[in-house]
Amino acid sequence: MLRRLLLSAAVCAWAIAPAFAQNKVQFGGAGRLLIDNAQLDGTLLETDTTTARREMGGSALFDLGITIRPDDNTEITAITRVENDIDGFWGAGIVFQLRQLTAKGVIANSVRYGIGDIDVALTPYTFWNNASEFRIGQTPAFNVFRDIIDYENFYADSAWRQQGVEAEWGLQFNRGIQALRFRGMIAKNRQTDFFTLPDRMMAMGQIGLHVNNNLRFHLNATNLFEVAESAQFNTEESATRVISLSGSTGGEKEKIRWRLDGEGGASSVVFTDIPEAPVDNIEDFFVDVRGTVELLQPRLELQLGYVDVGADFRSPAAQSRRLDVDAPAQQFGFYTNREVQRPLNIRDVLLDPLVYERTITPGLQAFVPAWDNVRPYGVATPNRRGLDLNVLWNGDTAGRFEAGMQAALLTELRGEGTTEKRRFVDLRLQAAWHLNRSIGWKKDLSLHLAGRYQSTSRDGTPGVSEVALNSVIAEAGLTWELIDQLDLMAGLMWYQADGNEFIAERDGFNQVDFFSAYTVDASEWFGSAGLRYRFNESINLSLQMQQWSGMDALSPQTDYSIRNVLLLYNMFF
Amino acid sequence: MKLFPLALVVLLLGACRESGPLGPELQDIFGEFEVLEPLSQDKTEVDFSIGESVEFTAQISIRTPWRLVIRNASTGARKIIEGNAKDISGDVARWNGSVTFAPLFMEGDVVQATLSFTEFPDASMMSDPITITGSRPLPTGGVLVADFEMDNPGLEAFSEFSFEETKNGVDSLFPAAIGERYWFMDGRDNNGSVFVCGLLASAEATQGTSVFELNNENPASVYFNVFVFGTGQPSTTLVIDFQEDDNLDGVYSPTQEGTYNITFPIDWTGWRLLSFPLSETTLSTNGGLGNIDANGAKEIDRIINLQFILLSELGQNDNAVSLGLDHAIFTVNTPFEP
Repeated sequence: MLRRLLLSAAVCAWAIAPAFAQNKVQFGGAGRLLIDNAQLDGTLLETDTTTARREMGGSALFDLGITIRPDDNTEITAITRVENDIDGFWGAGIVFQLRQLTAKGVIANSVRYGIGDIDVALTPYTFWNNASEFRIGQTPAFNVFRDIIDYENFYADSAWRQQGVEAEWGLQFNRGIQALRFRGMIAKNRQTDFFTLPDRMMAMGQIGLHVNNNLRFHLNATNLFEVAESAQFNTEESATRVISLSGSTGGEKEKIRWRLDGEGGASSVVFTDIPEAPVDNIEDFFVDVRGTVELLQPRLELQLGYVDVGADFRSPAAQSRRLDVDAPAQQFGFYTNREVQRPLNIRDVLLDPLVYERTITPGLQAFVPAWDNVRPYGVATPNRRGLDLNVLWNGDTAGRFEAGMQAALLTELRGEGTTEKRRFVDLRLQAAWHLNRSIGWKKDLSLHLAGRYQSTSRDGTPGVSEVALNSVIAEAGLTWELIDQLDLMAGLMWYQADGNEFIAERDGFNQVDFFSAYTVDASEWFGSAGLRYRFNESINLSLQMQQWSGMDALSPQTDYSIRNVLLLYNMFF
Repeated sequence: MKLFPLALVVLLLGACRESGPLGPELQDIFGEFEVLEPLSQDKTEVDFSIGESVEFTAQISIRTPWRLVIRNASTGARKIIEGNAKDISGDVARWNGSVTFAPLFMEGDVVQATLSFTEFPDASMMSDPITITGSRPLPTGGVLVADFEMDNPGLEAFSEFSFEETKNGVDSLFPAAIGERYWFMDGRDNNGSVFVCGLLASAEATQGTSVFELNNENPASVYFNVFVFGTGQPSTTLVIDFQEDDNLDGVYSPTQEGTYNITFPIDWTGWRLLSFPLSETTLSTNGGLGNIDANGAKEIDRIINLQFILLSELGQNDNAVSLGLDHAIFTVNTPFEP
């Protein structure tokens, strides 16, 4: 049977070959000029005599991309960057960078390959770049900066930027099954220091079995591993391996579409020749099953899912976080007379590209419980079991409204430091109202609203208090095209959290070895309003006034606010 | 019904999972604090010269950060041991006569230990007095860069502007960490550049060799140790540079050859021993000052010069800074533990 299948197979290359039949040399790029004048204010300044009250900064940068196609099967892309800080007068602060270098093509019309800087994603449990905190809505005034953060950090949807080599190959069949696909990638995750710190590599592979258009299976695997021999004085190495099987099927009947998606898999963390490491491998598994029903009239999508992610499930490429909550902020990075590092606030998260990570890390990174305590590591967050309910209403036929709702009701599988388990609730709402379509205007007038409520609770035990942590985030945005190509943009984000938690501290092997008490009673708001002139679809100039204000009831003496005026010229070509 | 086998597999796998709590018991960390057994020691006279040590013991009801400070009240010598175990005994609270804040503990000294708790400041307790009948011998071996006992003509003092530096040389105004004399740097950052003054110790001047011969190429195995005297000025920062002669031509070229360095805020008062493996140093980020390594790698067998740089890091409120240096020494496999 297998022999007959293979004999009937036709070797094929996927998708990329036709894209090369274009110009031999093509230019593209981006440019940005940002000037930001910020002022610090608030109670903090009554005692802080050290921190500067004003900061004016910014930069001008230009990315030039060249794509060369020497033949129909080869494409080379190089993007160079010239950047100058706004206070780097006469070129004194100029920086030249090679931002991307990629070669890709098709070998023998069969195997697609990519070498250099490549973007990789697989499934949410194996290789996935999860969205960071405070991305609950689609307010255009904030999306301007979210896009900059994504661009600067190479976040392309859910892909991680890797530096390595990937290949893809497929077989199509005339009978039995439809196709088989093979994908593989290996990249360097960390450079050796040649002495004690070994190279770390990231590898992934996928085999896809397409039975027909409605039934597909994928076998997915990742491995983050060290190469002990790459460091002269090192014998220690570790590896985190994940394997999963995912499947998807669906159908359509009259005005209803349905889909069933599932993924299940396991991980294993292996330590070799490390005396202080756990003796046994750290192993666990996960299961994720989701059923979706889509009504075509009215356009409504309902999804119900069940997830079970083990407490020791480790998948670095799916659990690595974008936001580094311990990073210093670019503006007013240190404060008080002791010049301590200023903790990040929602303004930093919304505006500062430098507080984000670009690499996959083997350990579970720190997070702020008040910002996201339910799934700080994405859907693959370990130690979670429960239900997901998603509803998406795609609007009426005139496209005036659209709305969505997501709810997650989860519990822990194992208690942390106690037999009691935490219970989590995560409720999100998004809505967009295109008012211009309601009143018959041609010019854009849209209102965007979003909200998120999270709660964490755990019963107390003798000598240990209960856990009760609640947080709310609300976001509202308005876009109004006043005259042709001139928009008024406004956005407001508000956040409030109160309660207590116990934060697990982990050792170098990702094992919980201590807990610290965490208490919060804080609120913040960030507003942004201004004008944007669109020269065309890809070039615009905006002037925004922004204000951030925070209140921490636990340390009111360090309450402060920041207001700023920001000029942004953005160009893509 | 078709999903039944799958559900069964999940249930079976789930049954294989460990179900106990993750990590230590919260009760052990956040429960009620009680001293179950007060601080005591296994001896009141100790002779460190024959390898004896003192074991302190105490028991508390929860895991909480604690600090054991063994102090000679008359000289100011201090040894600090820190931990968070609730059973304070054995190796976590053993003292071998070494020192954290100089001067060294000497024969005839009478010391007393204080056990304190960060989160329970009222619960501190003291040991019985302990008499030292024999002091710990100074460790032998290692590559001594400078003990500053002589005028050290081979050492090169430098500054950005001479008017910023008020002292940069051998001194003996207050007791040294070891011996009689030490190096003292004192100055003020007047022009906002952070840098105040520095001291260069070359291999040729201090060892008579072209590079420091450490006989070990593994940066994780080679420690650099130096006593640093802090004066309590909050802006004081020390940078220690290790300059490599990457092409072995006998000359350090800052635009082409690497400098690996490490920075310490000097926020204490008195002599404190700094020890770190050379693996903790990182390539300089100062453009044109060692930020390019011709060979692209840290090579500790090519260290030609050491530099001690005094910075006034904050530079806005209080830009006067000073520090002392004593007994700078490389050791192999273990830190210097006098």
